Amino acid sequence: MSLRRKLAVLADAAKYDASCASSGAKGTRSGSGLGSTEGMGICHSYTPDGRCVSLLKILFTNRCLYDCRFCINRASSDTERAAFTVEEVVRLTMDLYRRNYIEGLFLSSGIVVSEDHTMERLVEVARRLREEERFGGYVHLKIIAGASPELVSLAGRYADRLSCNVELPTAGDLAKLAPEKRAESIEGSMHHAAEEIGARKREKSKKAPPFAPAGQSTQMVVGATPTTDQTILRSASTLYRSHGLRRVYYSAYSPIVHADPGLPRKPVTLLREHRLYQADWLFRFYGFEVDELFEEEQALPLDIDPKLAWALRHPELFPLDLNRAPREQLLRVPGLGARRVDRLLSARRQGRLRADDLRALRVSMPKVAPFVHGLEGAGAHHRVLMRTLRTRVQEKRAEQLELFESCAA
Amino acid sequence: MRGLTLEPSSPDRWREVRGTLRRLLAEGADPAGLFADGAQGSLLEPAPAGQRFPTPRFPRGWQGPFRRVAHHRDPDSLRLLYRLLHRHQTEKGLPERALDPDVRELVARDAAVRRDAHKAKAFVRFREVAPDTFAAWHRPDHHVLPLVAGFFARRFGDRPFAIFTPDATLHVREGELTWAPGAPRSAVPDADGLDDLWRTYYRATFNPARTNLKAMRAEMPAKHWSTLPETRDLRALVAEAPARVAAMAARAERQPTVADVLPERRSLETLREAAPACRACPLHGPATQVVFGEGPADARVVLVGEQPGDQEDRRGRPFVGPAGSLLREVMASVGLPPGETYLTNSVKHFRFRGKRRIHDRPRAGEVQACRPWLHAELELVKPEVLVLLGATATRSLLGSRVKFRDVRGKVVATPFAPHTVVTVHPSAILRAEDGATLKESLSSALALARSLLSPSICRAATKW
Repeated sequence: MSLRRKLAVLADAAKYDASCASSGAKGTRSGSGLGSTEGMGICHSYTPDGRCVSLLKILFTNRCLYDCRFCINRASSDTERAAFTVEEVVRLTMDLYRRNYIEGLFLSSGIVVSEDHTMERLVEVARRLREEERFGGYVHLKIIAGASPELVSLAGRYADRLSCNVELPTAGDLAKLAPEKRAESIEGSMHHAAEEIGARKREKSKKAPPFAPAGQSTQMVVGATPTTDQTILRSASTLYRSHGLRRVYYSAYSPIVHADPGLPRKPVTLLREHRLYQADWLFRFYGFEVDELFEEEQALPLDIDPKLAWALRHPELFPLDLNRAPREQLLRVPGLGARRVDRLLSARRQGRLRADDLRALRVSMPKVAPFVHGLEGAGAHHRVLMRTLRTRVQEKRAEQLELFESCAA
Repeated sequence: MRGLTLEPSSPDRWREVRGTLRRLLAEGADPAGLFADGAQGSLLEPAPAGQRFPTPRFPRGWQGPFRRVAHHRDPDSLRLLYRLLHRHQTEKGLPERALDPDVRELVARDAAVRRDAHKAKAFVRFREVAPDTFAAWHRPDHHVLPLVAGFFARRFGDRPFAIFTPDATLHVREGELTWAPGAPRSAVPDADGLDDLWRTYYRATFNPARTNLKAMRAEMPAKHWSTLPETRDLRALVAEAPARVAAMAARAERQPTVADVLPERRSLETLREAAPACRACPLHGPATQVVFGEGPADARVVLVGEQPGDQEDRRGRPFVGPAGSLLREVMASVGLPPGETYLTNSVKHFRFRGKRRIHDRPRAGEVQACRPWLHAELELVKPEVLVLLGATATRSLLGSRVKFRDVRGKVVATPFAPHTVVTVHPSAILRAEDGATLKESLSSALALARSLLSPSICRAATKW
């Protein structure tokens, strides 16, 4: 098989992994020839799906012993198979990097022979890049769950980021759709990586070799099982807390060729994925608890964002005085992001804020006005605006429902 | 009135701007009396060599923004910088005043330059113009080349390279940075030997189910497309996306699955009624009829075999052939009452070879296709103990990684029942030479299953 065909097959097979970040690794490795990492990630291109192309994201091979139902590369799928050699991956990475097409390499793999055998190949690619090619660019290695701790440790020495996918939000989902994967071995591998990353961080000496300086992340497919948004976000929040993850990626299940009959036929709406990311941000940077974002419904509303939904459920906490409210309360105002809040706070120190000032700070007044008061020069009263907003949301929902029912009939 | 100009793209632009600003301040120039117009030529004389001006009051937080805005293409930016510096000498707390029009303008212009510099890092594309020598042509909005020169030298400095822009050219060789005047696009060849591989990668990594052109255009402005080879495929990629998605859906559509016939309201009866319509695998063709599971809906034990055999296929009931009789005999001997047991198979149709209807092992695809039926049965019956008879049942419910010989005779954890026992299939006993030993292990496995049942009193209690 030609290198070109292999690349087509193995890039196609890797594209369902949502992680594309090339950020977080500060300072280039000492002794590097080609390449650097400078903290901020760079997207070198964008595909027509609006996704950034930052790393050469490929599988080492898409042959796989496992039979995970949601995965296009599962053993029982009749998809075209291919495998790179270590040399081929190293050359591709170096050649593309040299022309500034990529920030580095994202390497994952189907499982062949055994977990350790597969992990050894991935580590060997990274070792060759670092030690023989003196490559200083970004390397993201997938941890094969169940690989031996020694291999995970080696991977961390060469990689900037490690990731071990939990694949599905709960252990029950995993047992159903990925019968060969074990939640315990996934957690075990993550735990080992987290320990080493933590140990390296506590290390005072600057000369100590780096260990996955950009931390570790994980991914879960959402919508392949009936698991609710609330359960998904609880799992994610536990993962952030117990393993110090940098990111949890949510990947909306989209039907694959030769899909398993037990899986949904229709793709999960991308809006659901988007709402999950919004909620993820809310509990990581805005001081929300996961359970605050839900009431009786265990799903995030699709028509409005989770913060607005929360605020509409809590009219008793509003309006806030923009000139007095503390940061943690401002963060909960729909339409105010963390950066906007900080600029607001610094502007507030210079004197009383007026409605014009908010416009100057590019705060969207229609979004914010129903939730704040105490602004000179603002238009209608917040209570009127709040009522209008609620009615509009309700009317829209009623309309949708009608539409849905007439379709169903 | 005095004019302010600078060479359009000097590598030392920031130092020149800083010198000019200091001199103007030292001379007490009025910001309102300055104009910026390149065409007028500079009315400023260059700073006499060796002459130094006093360092003015300058806030630390402005260093980055001033340095960057000095590279803004609009010449009026210099006037803005001088006005800010001039005001800062007398007005307290100016840098913190986020609402001040000048401060806002500084922030906005800084953001524009920063974005442009970032895009230069992203979209400069090198071509191999001679063995191990590289060159790129790029057209930035602002004079950002000096701002990104260090980045490119750090990253690619182990080989000689050059970056051409319409305003200036940077050459890097063995750590040495040299500058030359700008050059047109024709200075660098349009293609590189690696373009083909890159375009292959770009096409493969795009998911046609998620086309979002607006997001792409916002991040990758069309003015950079001329030097990005992958954009030549855009039109084709977008045009073929709906067809690719439709083909994927059609492929899924054409392949019937259990989901097509699974009833919405689930009970063992509705399942049994729906099963004959199943076309999820080709076995329904040659077989006489579907052989569904049998037993009470509240059975405490479920036994899963492989597939119906000749007798079962003719009579439409599971475990009624020779292997079935043997199984029922062993069940009776260990006290597993048939009234509390549900018997079923991994595959619900008989697979056979030739006219003599010789039993043929079901294939992995058929086991997989049929699995939703088995799952549906287990979800309804919710057994306390699940018994897997043989390798096929084991693979169907425990997955292909689990080796039958490793779990045979053991109790394993599954999501389907509190206890799952793995043992041999009764037909293996009939075929084997040392049938007695195998029969012994089937018997002890079923006895083990029996012992795992909680005392009936508990069961009765939970039922209430």
